[in-house]
Amino acid sequence: MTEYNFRQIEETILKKWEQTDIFKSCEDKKRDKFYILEMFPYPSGRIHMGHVRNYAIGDVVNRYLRMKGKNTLHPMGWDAFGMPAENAAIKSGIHPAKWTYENIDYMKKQLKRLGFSYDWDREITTCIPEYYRWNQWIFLKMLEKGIAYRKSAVVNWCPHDMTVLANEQVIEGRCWRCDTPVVQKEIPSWFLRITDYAEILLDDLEELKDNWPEAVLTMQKNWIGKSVGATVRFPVENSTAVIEVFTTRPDTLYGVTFMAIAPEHSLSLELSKGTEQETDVEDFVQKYLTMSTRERNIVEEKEGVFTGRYAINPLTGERIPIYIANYVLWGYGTGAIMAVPAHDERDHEFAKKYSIPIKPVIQPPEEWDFGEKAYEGEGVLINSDGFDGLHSAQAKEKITQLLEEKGIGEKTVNFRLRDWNISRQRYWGTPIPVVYCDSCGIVPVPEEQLPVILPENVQFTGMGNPLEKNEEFVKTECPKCRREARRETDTMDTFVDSSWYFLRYCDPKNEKEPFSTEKTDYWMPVDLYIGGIEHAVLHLLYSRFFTKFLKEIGLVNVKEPFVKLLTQGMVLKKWVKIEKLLEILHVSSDDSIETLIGKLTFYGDITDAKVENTTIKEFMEKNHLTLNDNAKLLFDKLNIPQNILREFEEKYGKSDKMSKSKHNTVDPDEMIKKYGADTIRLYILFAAPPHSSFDWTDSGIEGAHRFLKRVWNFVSEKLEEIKGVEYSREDFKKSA
Amino acid sequence: MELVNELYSYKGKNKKLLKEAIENLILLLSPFTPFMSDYLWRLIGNEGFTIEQKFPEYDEDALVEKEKEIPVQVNGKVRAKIKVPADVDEETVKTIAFENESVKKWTEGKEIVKVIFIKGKILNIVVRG
Repeated sequence: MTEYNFRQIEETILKKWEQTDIFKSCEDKKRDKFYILEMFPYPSGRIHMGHVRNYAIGDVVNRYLRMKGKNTLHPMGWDAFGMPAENAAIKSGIHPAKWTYENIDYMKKQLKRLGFSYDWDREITTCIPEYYRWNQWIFLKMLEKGIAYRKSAVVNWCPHDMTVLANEQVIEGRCWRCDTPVVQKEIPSWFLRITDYAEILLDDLEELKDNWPEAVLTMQKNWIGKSVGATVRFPVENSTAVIEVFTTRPDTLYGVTFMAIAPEHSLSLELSKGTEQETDVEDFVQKYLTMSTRERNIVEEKEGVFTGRYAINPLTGERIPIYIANYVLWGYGTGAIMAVPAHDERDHEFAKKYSIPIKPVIQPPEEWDFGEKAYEGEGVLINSDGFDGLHSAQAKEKITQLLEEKGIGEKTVNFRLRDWNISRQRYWGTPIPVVYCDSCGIVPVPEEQLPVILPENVQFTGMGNPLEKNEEFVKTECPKCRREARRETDTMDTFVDSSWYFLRYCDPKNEKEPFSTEKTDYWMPVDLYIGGIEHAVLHLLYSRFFTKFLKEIGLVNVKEPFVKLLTQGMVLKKWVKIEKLLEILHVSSDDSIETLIGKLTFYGDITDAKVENTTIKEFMEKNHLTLNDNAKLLFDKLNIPQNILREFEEKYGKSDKMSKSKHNTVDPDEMIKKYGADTIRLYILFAAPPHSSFDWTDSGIEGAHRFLKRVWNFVSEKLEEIKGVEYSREDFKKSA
Repeated sequence: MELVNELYSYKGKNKKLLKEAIENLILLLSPFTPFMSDYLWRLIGNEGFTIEQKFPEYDEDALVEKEKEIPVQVNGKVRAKIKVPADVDEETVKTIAFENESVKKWTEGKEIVKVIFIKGKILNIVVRG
């Protein structure tokens, strides 16, 4: 009997697969199709266990359905544009293209070695011109239909590097590279009018109801954020200015006791001019303008400043103080609110802090202390003139009617969804195909001149957009008047690339159009889409938006791109902090290394351990370790075998998503070497149902491996007996 | 897992049955462990790849129980277990039961007071003397 030599088995079979085209897929109208897709990866360098799980789930479904007679499409590709490649270029001077293609090569080998049954003839790489030219083509179609447009947008700006920063590049209000305080700056940008599709994107969620996870549907619904209410205009006292607000609660208009505007609001500095508050306001606005939007969302404490000015409640004629407040977000609604502290918790908190009156106008159903808490529910109106006694629902309608009659407001449907800013002031992306001409203005690059190729010859200094400095690229001829013109140097948000790649897989080599309708008619929609829940909103919403746009221009015939969505659970791994390890062993960091090692001798063979004559604390400092680090790192430095830690991990460890910073990752390559790809696949698929997370354990993968050894041993034991035996189903019928 | 355990305990000599069971095992595992499945598929003398084969389907007929084993009690004690056709009627069960050596031993020469048959479950015999 031969041993289960998984390495030799897997390498032999892999070669055989490569010599054939068994994973290829072709349209065949006589057979039922099934399009199975896993979210394509960013080529970050190496495949991680999360990828393996994602793709193993897809692969088992593909192989099973193939064997069940379905004509399946199961492709793979690379979401290859994006910041990490450009950051690598800035830091280490490697060209983003080289970095990306090397990663793709490596990761592709890994995917093959894991036995995934992809049709590699359909591979898509978004950073090659054959792909991104169609991003440009779709953009031009959107421009033509008025879906793409240009307006100014607020961005994080580093005044030292003269560059736009992404939210994640702003650390505590400073530039990640040079530590200069970041400012907010308005620059002209390209937007896609996704808000035109808000209503249909919301309505069609209904169709996905039984096939998409409830959580994803809810997140999309909240993101679109439809609310029905009223727009109300409050005139500013002694001024021609008017503050417009949107409210879902016009029934509380009589309870307004202050107004609040966002620091970015155009009136914020203007109103306080000449008042005693002028400098306070300036300081406050300055403080918030230097924060990234993400950081502002994290600030929990409500904070504001009085502008020294008042607005007039257009229904009651009351004078209402105007504040600038951090909890009013620019870019949502009108950037200004009417505040009703009696019936809105955030307003209540603010009112208490700044001693603003709280005026109840809705009667709560039970005893209520308005000094303590806002009553946010609906109810019967009080203190509201002629509307007293009405229920909120009726009052909303009646009050809105009155606003409309008086011309001071109107019924409004508001969406939280904003238009999509696709401009990125970066190099490694799809060039936006537009030219600026002094005489003709903004001129789209004609279709026959596509693609606008991203030039390779650029310098990565980390200052500004490298494309701006490439004169060869920037200088061009106006397609209309032939005079000298300048190219747009913004590139597209990489979410554009992934908003339609699933359509390109249906017809990946098409040189005449993004894809042929005939091919997408056969393959689309994607029957099963598998990926992480982190894409619940942006990627999935943008893909739905693109599909709807492409349907409108007659390119596809499906309303929704993904029939069934599976958001797979995470692969977790238990780990123990140094702090926890010391606690378990009853050792303090002031104790000596010798004490620690002494304690550990009870848990296994540590004869090779390095004993140093210092305290644990000193040893850690010397090796740049902190109490929050993984105990594994300490073990490495002390030359103690990892398997001793295993018991501690399984018993006391904390389950966390595998991550480099926690050092609790398991490397797929290492597992392939140790157990083989079949074992990894079997383990990862049997450890938990696909949508649940699970803890990766050594005992789990060893169990899967033992099982495969058993299968192998059994079959090889019986090999002689069954060799050459032939049978048909009839043989078994007779004997029965 | 259970199939592998079951196969390990198979002591029969029907080579055709064994081969079919092994082929099915290989094919059932194929979507999960395609390398080993394809390798074994070839090793036992087949060509091509498992992904090109039909996924095994269960045999409806095979899942229907054709025979049943039911206990026979004499005066409340189980004295024998007899094999009967699954949809057997009372008379046939009685005939089979009274021919059973062990049942004979406890009933012969005694007065049969009552016989109760619960279909598919049990046969109860009450005797006197």
